[in-house]
Amino acid sequence: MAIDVKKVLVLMSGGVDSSVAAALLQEQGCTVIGVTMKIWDGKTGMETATHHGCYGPGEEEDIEDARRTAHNLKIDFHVLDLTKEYQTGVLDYFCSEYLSGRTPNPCVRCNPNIKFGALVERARSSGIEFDFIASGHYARAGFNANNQRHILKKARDLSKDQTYFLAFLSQTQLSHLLLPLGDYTKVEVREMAKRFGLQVADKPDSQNFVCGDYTSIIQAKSNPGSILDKQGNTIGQHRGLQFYTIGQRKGLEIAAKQPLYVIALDADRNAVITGSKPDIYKNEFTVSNLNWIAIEGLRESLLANVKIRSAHDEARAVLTPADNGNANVKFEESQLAITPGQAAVFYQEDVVIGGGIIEKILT
Amino acid sequence: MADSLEFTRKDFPFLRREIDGRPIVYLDSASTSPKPQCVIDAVSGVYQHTTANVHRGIHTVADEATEAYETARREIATFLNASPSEIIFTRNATEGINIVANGLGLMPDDEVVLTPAEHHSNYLPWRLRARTVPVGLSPDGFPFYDDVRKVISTHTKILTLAHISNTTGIIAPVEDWIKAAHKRGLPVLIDAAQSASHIPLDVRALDCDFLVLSGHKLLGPSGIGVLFGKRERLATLSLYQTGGGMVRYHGEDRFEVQDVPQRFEAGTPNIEGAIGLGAAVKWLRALGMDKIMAHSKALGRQLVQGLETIPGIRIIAASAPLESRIGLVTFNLEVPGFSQDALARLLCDRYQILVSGGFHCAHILHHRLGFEGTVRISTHVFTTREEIDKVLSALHELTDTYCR
Repeated sequence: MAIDVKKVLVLMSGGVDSSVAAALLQEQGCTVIGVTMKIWDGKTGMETATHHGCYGPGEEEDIEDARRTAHNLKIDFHVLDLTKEYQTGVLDYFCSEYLSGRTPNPCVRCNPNIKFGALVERARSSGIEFDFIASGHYARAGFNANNQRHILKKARDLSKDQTYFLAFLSQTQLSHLLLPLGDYTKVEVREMAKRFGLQVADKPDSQNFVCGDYTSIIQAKSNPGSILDKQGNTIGQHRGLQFYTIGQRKGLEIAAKQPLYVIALDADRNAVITGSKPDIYKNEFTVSNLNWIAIEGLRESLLANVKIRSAHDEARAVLTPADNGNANVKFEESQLAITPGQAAVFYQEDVVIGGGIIEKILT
Repeated sequence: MADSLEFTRKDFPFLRREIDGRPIVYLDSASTSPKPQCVIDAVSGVYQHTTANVHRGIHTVADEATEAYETARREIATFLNASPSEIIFTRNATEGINIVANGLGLMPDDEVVLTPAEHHSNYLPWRLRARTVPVGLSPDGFPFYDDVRKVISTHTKILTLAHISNTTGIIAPVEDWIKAAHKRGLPVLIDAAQSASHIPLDVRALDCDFLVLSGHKLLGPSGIGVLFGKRERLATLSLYQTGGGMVRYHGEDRFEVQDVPQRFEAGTPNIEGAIGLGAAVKWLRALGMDKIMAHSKALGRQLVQGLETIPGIRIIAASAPLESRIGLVTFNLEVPGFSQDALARLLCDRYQILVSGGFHCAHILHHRLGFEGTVRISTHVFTTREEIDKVLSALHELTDTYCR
């Protein structure tokens, strides 16, 4: 931590992590300003959803927890309304992705666009002054003097590492970023919360995005269609593409000799394609919307470990530049359920090289 | 959610007032409150039926006037859970504080512990006579109440603080101050000018030494207030005013003053004011202060949550937990070309919404925060959720119109 750090805007969710992040920075001598975003519009018919997600009726309680923490720490606190930005930047994207047969990750989208994007801009335009932005994410930010790149590294607590969700931050965003929890384990963070006297010390971990039925967010009328086998024969009816994802086995409601899995979603034909388990193991895919962190760009083939969803154990693959600034990713061993719309994040050891959105499965 | 108290609106003739042919939305009760019909009747009843001086006359009507005046004192004692002999009628809370500040015999080196958010009336009477020592203030204007133990010194003579600040709208942890003070044998004065209308008061439970309030904010008439003091504390205060009614014996050689409370009530008091205030607290008690508190807190929550969504707004004590806030919120909203006063004026002229604009007699707080004024929205028992919605949408409309 630099000694000359003065004012830090801490993105507070009301949870234990961001609360401890704020307290740690304050302890280090920073002037901390707490900010929480309001994104829940109360409209989307999720009244039954329990809280512990970012988006949902529990927001009010979470804002109160953030306020209480700010109050305990005696820091300035602001609630910023980003309902509209979240609607257009995350929810609309989330819906359109699902309706076109893809499986989006809203957090991957929310971090660069909303939390470290619109929220920070709004704080600035609201007259809040700050030099740095901090969050309670488990990851480490740094700077590589050799190539002058701001870098992102995995958290010390690998079981809590959240670099997957931060892989789309720009160099500018990373240059202002402080991640005070990167060197701590979750257990240590909870202990610190108690030491700082934070009431949220025992608050349960939040699940990302929503808890409960995400499909209730998708306002479009569901459009039922056919479930096909690999040969294109209709073997059943689906309720709408948004209810399915690759690798899914449950909810197909078809009696078959062998277990059926979703192997692809075809938006053009509004069809769910099914096959057997080996059919969902794939090797190669293209990625678009690339964001490079440790390197300026992909000029030649690169060996990396690639993670294709947040719960995936990264696997070795070769990245190769492709047309239109995209890239091809080829795993050494085939992987389960490579899913268009999800983020693929590339690592070399604990350093994030970059990330992209899975477009098309090749082989 | 708290019960709606909308049914009480019919009791307030003032709420039927219109400006430019449109009904007003009255959100300025922290300045002064409208009066229910029972208060209006009590005051005019004195003029119509009971015109007589108190504690002096020797006729039936004088007896009736004295009885009504003392009944009001008992009513207020009940409201505060005090004994009637501990209730002194004053002009307002300001006078109550001045009586105590004057009566303690403070010396210039003595220290008075308070908060930087105090109203002028709980600042200047002390400053005039001693050194005021405020606790710290957070960047958003919340006093660091828990610093109280750090600022008490051997020079401290009294602690004084608003139960609810007229600017922050936050319920102060007065019990904690009282505990800290009593540990050192120091008295505490509670300025209940704002709190009396919003939360239950119990001077026995609080164990405060002095408490002041103003009638006009409490649905009562102007020019009447109350100073509560523990008997032993009141007994040691030096005299404030002298005149008729406060002496038992006055001869060439000497005079003997009355016991409390009369010794502090020199001259003919505000009889109709006291009787009006008695009617007001009776009305509040019948409604139930617990219910009133829940209602006020719910409106405060609605206000903060609504105001927070306006870009560029700075709410005083925004970091204070919502459960500690009553229906009183003060903020600075930057709208190009408009001072905070002008913003308040615009709310009235365009939307018939009456709020406060300016410094709310809390210059010290505003200076510390660097604000050239603020706007204050304050509720009372009759305020509805719909009225809060109205002011919120008016403010959204103003910022949408002038901020882009």
